[in-house]
Parts: sequence; structure tokens; C-alpha cells
Amino acid sequence: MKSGVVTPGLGDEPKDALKEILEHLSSPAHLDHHPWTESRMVQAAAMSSTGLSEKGKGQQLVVAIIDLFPRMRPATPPRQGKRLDTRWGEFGILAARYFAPLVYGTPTPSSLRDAWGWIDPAIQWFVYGRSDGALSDSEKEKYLLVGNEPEVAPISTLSDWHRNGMKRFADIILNWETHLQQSESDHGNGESHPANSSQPTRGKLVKRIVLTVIASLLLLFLIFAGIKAYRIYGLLQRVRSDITSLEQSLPSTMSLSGLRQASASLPRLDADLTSLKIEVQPLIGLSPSLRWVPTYGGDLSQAGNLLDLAQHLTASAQDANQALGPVLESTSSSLTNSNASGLSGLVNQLSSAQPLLQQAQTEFQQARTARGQLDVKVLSPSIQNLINQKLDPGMTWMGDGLSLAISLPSVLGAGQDGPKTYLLLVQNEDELRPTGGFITAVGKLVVDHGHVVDLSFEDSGSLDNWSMPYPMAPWQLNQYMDSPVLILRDTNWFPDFPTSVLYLKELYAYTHQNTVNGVIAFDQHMLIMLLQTLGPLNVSGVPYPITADNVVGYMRASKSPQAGGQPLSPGGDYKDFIRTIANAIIQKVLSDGPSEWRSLSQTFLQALQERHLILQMDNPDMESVLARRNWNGALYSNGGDFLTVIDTNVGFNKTTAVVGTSLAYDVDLTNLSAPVGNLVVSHTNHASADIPCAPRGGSVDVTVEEYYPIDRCYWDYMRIYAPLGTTLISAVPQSIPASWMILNQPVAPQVDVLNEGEPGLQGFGTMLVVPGGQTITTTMQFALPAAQILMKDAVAHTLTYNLTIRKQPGTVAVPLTLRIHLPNNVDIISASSGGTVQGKNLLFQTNLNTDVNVQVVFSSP
Amino acid sequence: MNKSIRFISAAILLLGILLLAGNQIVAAGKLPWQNGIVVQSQNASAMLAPGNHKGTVLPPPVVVPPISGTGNYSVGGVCTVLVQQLESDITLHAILLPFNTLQGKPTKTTSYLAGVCDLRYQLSGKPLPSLTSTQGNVQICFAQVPNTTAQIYAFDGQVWTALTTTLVNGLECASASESGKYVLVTNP
Repeated sequence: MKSGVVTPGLGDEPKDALKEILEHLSSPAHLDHHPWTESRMVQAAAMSSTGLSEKGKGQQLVVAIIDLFPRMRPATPPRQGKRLDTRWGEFGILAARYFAPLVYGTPTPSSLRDAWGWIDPAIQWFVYGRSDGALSDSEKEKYLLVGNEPEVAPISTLSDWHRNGMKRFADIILNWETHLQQSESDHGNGESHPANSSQPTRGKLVKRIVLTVIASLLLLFLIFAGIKAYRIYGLLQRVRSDITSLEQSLPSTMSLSGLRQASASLPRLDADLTSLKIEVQPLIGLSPSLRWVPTYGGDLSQAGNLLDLAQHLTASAQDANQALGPVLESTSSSLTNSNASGLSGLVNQLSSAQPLLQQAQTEFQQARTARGQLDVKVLSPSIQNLINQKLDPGMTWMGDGLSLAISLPSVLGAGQDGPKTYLLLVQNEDELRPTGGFITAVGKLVVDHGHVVDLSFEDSGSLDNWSMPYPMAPWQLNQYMDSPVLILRDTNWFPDFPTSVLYLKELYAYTHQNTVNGVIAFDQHMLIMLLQTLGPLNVSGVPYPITADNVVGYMRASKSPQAGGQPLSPGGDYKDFIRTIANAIIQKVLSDGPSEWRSLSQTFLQALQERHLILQMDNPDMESVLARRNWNGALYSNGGDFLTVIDTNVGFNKTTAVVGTSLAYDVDLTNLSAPVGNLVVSHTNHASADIPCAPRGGSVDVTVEEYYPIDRCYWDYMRIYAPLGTTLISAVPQSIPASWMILNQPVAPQVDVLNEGEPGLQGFGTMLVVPGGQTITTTMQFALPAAQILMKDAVAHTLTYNLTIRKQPGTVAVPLTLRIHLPNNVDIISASSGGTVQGKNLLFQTNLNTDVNVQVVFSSP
Repeated sequence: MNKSIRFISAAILLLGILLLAGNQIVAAGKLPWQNGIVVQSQNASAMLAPGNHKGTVLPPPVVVPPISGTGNYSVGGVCTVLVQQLESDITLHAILLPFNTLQGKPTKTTSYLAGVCDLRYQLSGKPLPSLTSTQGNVQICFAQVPNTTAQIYAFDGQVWTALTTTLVNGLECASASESGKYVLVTNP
């Protein structure tokens, strides 16, 4: 930096300003208004010298200048030679003229020439802090500048030294001022903090302290995080262990010991989950932002929902266990206890447990909410598997179990709304109808607090009240059975059981005033299943025990005035037999008590699965369970491909008993944009080949028909339901001559496109008559709606084909051959078990003892 | 084989287009070019056939003997006439008719839910178009069709009239003071 250059705080002419200062060093008051008094160097000097800040501005300026002056001293001793060292000359002249007199008390020279003689002593004072007599000769010699000169230097030389010295000192001052200014800037503080700026070492100290504090905090945090992580890990391990032990005990939950073991682990799991939640609670808010963490990021991001789910589920299970434990214990103890309180005891226990069960359901609802908020896709594979494969099915069962336990007292007449009345729909599958069979009898069952207070049956033919208006019969009943109106015994024309129930209840009310709280429909096969579980029953009026093997034969015979050549009951007592055997079964169940309940409940579950038993309940909780389990006989499609074949015997006979039906369904997916379904239904009538297909009222003896006509032709109106949007491409239906039909009108080979409004389904129907000893094969080709039956996963580049083939109630195990043909350019990724893969084709050979669900996942071409 | 299928398909398509152009397609009934496919709906073919039934469902007669007193009278099992009051010199003649006796429907969107009950009043043996409130109080009822909102309409031979219909205990009922045909239809 050159003098004369503008320097902040020191003015435009630093040399002149310095000269003024030097001339007034001994009288600082004159400098109180000097412009340099506001300079940084003055402020720094005032801060660093004790008490100086309280002095006058001029005094502060003088001290600052005196402090800086030693910096002008050259770093090396004066050069010895012919010419004087000008740098020392410049330093020496200023030292002798201005500073030594003030600092060390040497005489004040009156002129530059006078100062000449004081140059060497002044240098000694500033180098050694002492002078002349106190110095050795060598010390004196080392810094001797002018002592050996023969005479005083010319005045021009002294003036040059003085002028250049002033200039150099001014540069030193300016440099220092600039340095102070930069130091302030380096601290990043726009404001002027002269105290800090003038103390670089202090700033570093502060910085060091701050860094130390930060490092210490970081260390503490790491220690805390480590401890926290260790504790969380430990709790996670404990929870995992609890779940594992619970899982291990679950497979044997059908035994009481298994339930006890599972129940015992619930409090521990609950406690560990609570501890875990407390431990991680402060961190839960951060969890959604941890998605980026490799491997476990997904789990961490869902930690809150996972914990909520686990805790509410455990709490629900604990409450349910506490509520139902006594019930389970009592059913177990009654195995050896003859004082079993039976169904009413169960109802009472469940009624007492309602508060706890309600609490369990509340917790369960919260668990269900947490499950709904859980994004399973982001979870790690093991957690995903746990939730999809175990938790979800388990939650469904648990939810249904709670609903049943809560609603059962009310359903069994122990609720606030009093006794309950149910219609028992006795269906005979020998005359197959859409919901199971011809309605031969309707029973009324009244239960009050688990006690059967009324059980009666009426012949379905006696339940008409012709003073009342009846709904118009479906056109098929009108045309093929000459039934102009729909009466009670034909109300199960509708494959959707809830719809049938609406008509049934409406028409039942024509002859009965009582409220109906639900309908229980069953077929003969249900009785077989019950007798297989209960064993032989002694039925009043029957000389031999009724067993699973002879019950159907006996029921068929009871419709006839003669069985085995001996009259059973003149006039036919089928409904009496139904009432008698139903009574016998109920009494057996109630008298045996809970000892038989376990095997009975399994039988009922199987019957519900196989639709030999269908339930409709007005109780909303119970009805939702029935709907969810598809135990209410509803006909609907919830997506994917769908097929059901519904036969309706419209021949006024029981010939279904000797008719064999088989299905073959080929799904052609080779053209993915235009899938095709090919259905082949074969009906083989094993009745006598020579029996004429004379309709009712024709040549066959009417009196024989009143009994139990099996050896007949098979009049069947067959309906097929496929996904909505399905269209019929072609068909090979049957042409039926007029002489075979009740109205003496021929039936053209036609397929009726039905408009029945079943949710998500399109119906097709056709009439066929199968003579004895013959097989009628009906084929239909459908154009299936591609968008509905194929589900595309754009991410995985896969297509999924789901097919549900629904079993018709009343049938036992219709053989089914299913073939699925895939395009040649795809790969099968997964397929339901039980099938055979043949290239790009899948073959399933099975039967419809229950619904069949098939899924195929294949690569998207 | 493929050629013949294509030929048949083309022929079917061509025939279909020609017939469509000729406006000959009907909503129901067998279409010979549809390979035996028939679109069926409830009101398309269901007609109540008066007379003896060969089936096991045997409803009351479709022709009711002249009614001259109070009581409930079933007309072929499809509708019930509730006579709560009737002057002694008035008789009511009720018959169940098939749907094809009607010309059109009350509105384009409705469909029949039950048969046609024809009620005719006579005063001293002469046709009486309608009853006054002093002459009689008669209601006609049809069975409720589940999951359906319905309304009773009356047709006097020229005009369809929507009647105030009440649903009580599974019965759709309306006042039947006019001589005419009564039907239960879906409410549009």
C-alpha cells in the first residue's frame, strides 16, 4: 500500500496526519480531535491497555502510535560500510527526534541536525531497552549507525531520512489499520466490533470453545442414540420372541391347552409392546422421513402404524381372551361334567362378557384403522409376508369371531329385543332349485335365551293365501311350469339367496303374523352331515335308528304311502318326519351340551362352506359376517372372471337324484384383448331309458307323481352367470318338442340373455329336457370382457387372471375340468396349486364341493 | 373351416345390417340370425293365461263373479280388490287379462311388474265410469316386488293415470274408483 491512498479511517494524506501527531507527542491533548483518534488501531490500543480507554482521545492516539513505532525497526542490524544504512537512518532519526525522548527520557532535539547525535543512543534504547553504559562494546558495535562518522551528515540527507521515515511509518500504520479491518471482515460480522477485532487470539479462543461444545454435544448425542438403539433393539427382540411363541401356540388353538398357552403370552407381548412404544415415542415423528434408509427404511417409515396395529391388536386379543376364557373353560370342563348348562349357559356367559367383548371390538376397530393406514408395499419382505399371509387372514377371523360373540346372545333370544324367530327352509335337492332344492317344508324356530321354545314345520303347499295378491312369476316358471304367479314354495327361484328371502318373507307373512328374524336354509345333505357327526338317532315312530346312510332313503320313502311294502303313515308324513328328526337332532345337541359343540361347529362350518346350509340374519353384525364369509348365499362378482351354472328342476319330479352333471370350461387367453370362454355342460339322466318325457298332466299317472317320482325325464332350466360385459358368441342348445312341454309348445334351440340385475354379472339361460338313459351336452361360447378379467401390473409387467367358479347350493361335488390357455409368448410366473402345466396351458381337474378359485400370474407380452 | 366361419360371419353381419336398416329388429323374441340367442325380460313373454293350469300352482280364477258386497276378492292371484263399501245397486266385474290386451305402457321407461286387472263398475246393469265417494270405497292391491319402487296406473282406454300408491305390509295399494285397467309398473 502506498501513502496517499485512501484508507478507511486515516484520511487522504496519512503522512501529514502522522507528522502532526509526531509534533504533538508530548502534548496529546492537542490531538483529541485528530481524525485518527477514531481509527481501529486507536480503539484496539484503548482496549488492550488498562485504563487507557478512560484517557483522552489524543492520549489514546499517542499510545497507539508509540506501540506501533517499534515495528518500523529493521529486522537486521545496520549494514556496516561506506554508506550509511538508510533504513536504520530513517528509523533512527524518528526515534531520536520524537520517540526516545518521550519513551526513554532522552533529550528532545531541537532540529534534525541536533538529533544526529542522539540517533545511536535512541537505537540502543529501542533495541536493548537500555543505553550506552549498560551495554557491552559488542552490543554497541552491533547497532552502531552514525558513531563512526567524522561529521554530521548533510541536512539534505537528514531531511530525506526524516521524510522517507515518516512515509515508511505511515505505511506501517496504514497496513496495520487495514489488517484490523480485514480481521473484522473475516469474523463475518458486518457490524464493527472493535474489541473482538482487535483481539484475534480471543476470537480463536471463542471459536475453539464453540467447536469443543459442539463436539461434546455430538458425542453425548451419539452415546444417547447408542443407548436408545440398544434398548429399542432389545425390546424388538423381546417382541419378536413373544410373537414367535404366540405363533407356535396358534396352530393348536383348537385345543384348550393351545389357547391357554397362546393366552398366557398375550400379557407379556402387550407389556413389551407398551415398553417399546414408550421407548420409540419421541422418535416416531421422525420415522416417515427415514424411508431412504437401506433395507429397513420402509419398516422405519411405517413404525408408527406398525406399533399401533400391534398394540391395539394385542389389547383386543387380551380383552377377548378375558371375555371368552371362562366360556372356553366351561365348554372344556363340561366334557367331564354332567352338569353342563348347555346352550343357555353359553348364552348367559356371552351376555355377561359383553362389556369386555365391546372393549375388544373397539380395540380391534383401532387395529383395523392402523392396518388400513399401513403401506404394506414399502415394508421389508419378511414383514410383508407376515402381514399378508398371517396377520390379515387372522384379523378377518378375529373380527368375525368378535362380531359373532357379540351378536350371538341377541341372535339366540337373549338380547334386549327378546326371543327370536327363524324360518327353517327345508330344501330337497332331489328336485334341484337355485338355492338348494325344492322348498318342501317351512319350519318356525323360536329361541329365547338359548332355549328352543317353539319348533314346528308346515308343508310348503299349505302356505298360500289366495285372498292376497302374488307377484308375477318369472317368465320361465310361467312358460315351463305353467305357474302364472310366484308362490312361496317357488321363491328360491332366484340364485341370489337374499333376494329369495325377500320374497319368502313377504309371502310367509300372508299366512303368519309373527316377525321373522332370519332364515336358515338347508338340504338333505346337511342332515347326512349332522348324522355323521351325531351318530344314529332314535326317531319317534321309526322302528330302527336313523343314520347318515339311511336318512335320505327314509325321507324319500316317507313321501310315499308305501315303503318296503309296509305303510308308514297314510297320507304321507314327510313334514312330520322332518319335524321329528329336527327335534331329535336339536334335543341331541342340547342334551349332549358343549361336548359335541366342537365337532358340530366344524360340521356346520363345512356345511356353510359347501352351501348345504345358508343363513340370513336380520342382525347386522351377524349378517356382515355371513356376507364376508359368503355364507349368505349371495350371488355376486367382486372382480375377475366368474362362472356359475345353476340348474332348476322344472319337471315336477325328483329326478335330479339320478342326474349326473359335469362341467368343462376352457378359457382361451391366447388373444389377450379378446378372451373367450368355452363352456360345456353335460347332464346325464340315469333314469330308465324307456320312460316317456310326458310333462305333468300328461300320460304319466298323476297319483304316482304325488309320491316321489325319480324315474323320469329331467326338465331343467339351466342358467349361467358370467362377468358383466360377457356376450354370447355361439351356442348349441337343445330343441325340445311340444309334446315334452307342459303348455304343449315347442322350445326352440335358444339361449336367453337374462336381465336379472345380479351385481356385476350377466345371465344366460336355456331349457333342456334330458330323457332317461341319455346325456344332453350344452355348449356355449362367450366373449369375455378383457378389462375385467385380466389385471395388469404395469410395474411388474405381469397380468393376473382370477377365476371364481361358484358352486350351486344343493349339489354335492360336480366334476369340473378347467383349462386355461395362455399366449405362446408369455411365461407363467405363478398359478394356483392343483393344476397341471402343459406348455402354455393349465389344466385343473377338480370338483365343485366348494367354490373353486384359480389364479394365474404370467408375464405381460 | 376358417374360411367357412368367416363366410358365415360375413353373411350374418351383412344380414344384420340389412335388417337394422329395415328397422325390423324387435326387443324380444327369437331372431333367427342370432344363433338361438334370445333377449328375455320379465314383461316380454310373461302373459297370464286364463284358464285351467296344468302346473301345481293353482291361483283363483281370472274371472271373478260379479262383486256386490264388501270383502277381499282375488283376481287370478295377481291383484286383490278390497271392497270396503259399495252401494247395493252397483256391481263390480273384475277380470285378469294378459299384457297383450294393453296398448303401450304408461311411460316409455316403465315395465310391468304384475298382470292387468280389469275392473268395470255397473250401476243397475249399465256401465258406470267411476264411483263417487258415496257410491263406494274400493282399493286395488298388488304384491310388492322386492328391491323395486312401483306405482299403480289406471288406463281408461285412452289415458294412463298414475295413482297414489301406498306400500303397507308388502302390498302396493291404490284407490280403484274408476272403471278401467289397473297395472303395477316400475316407477320411473
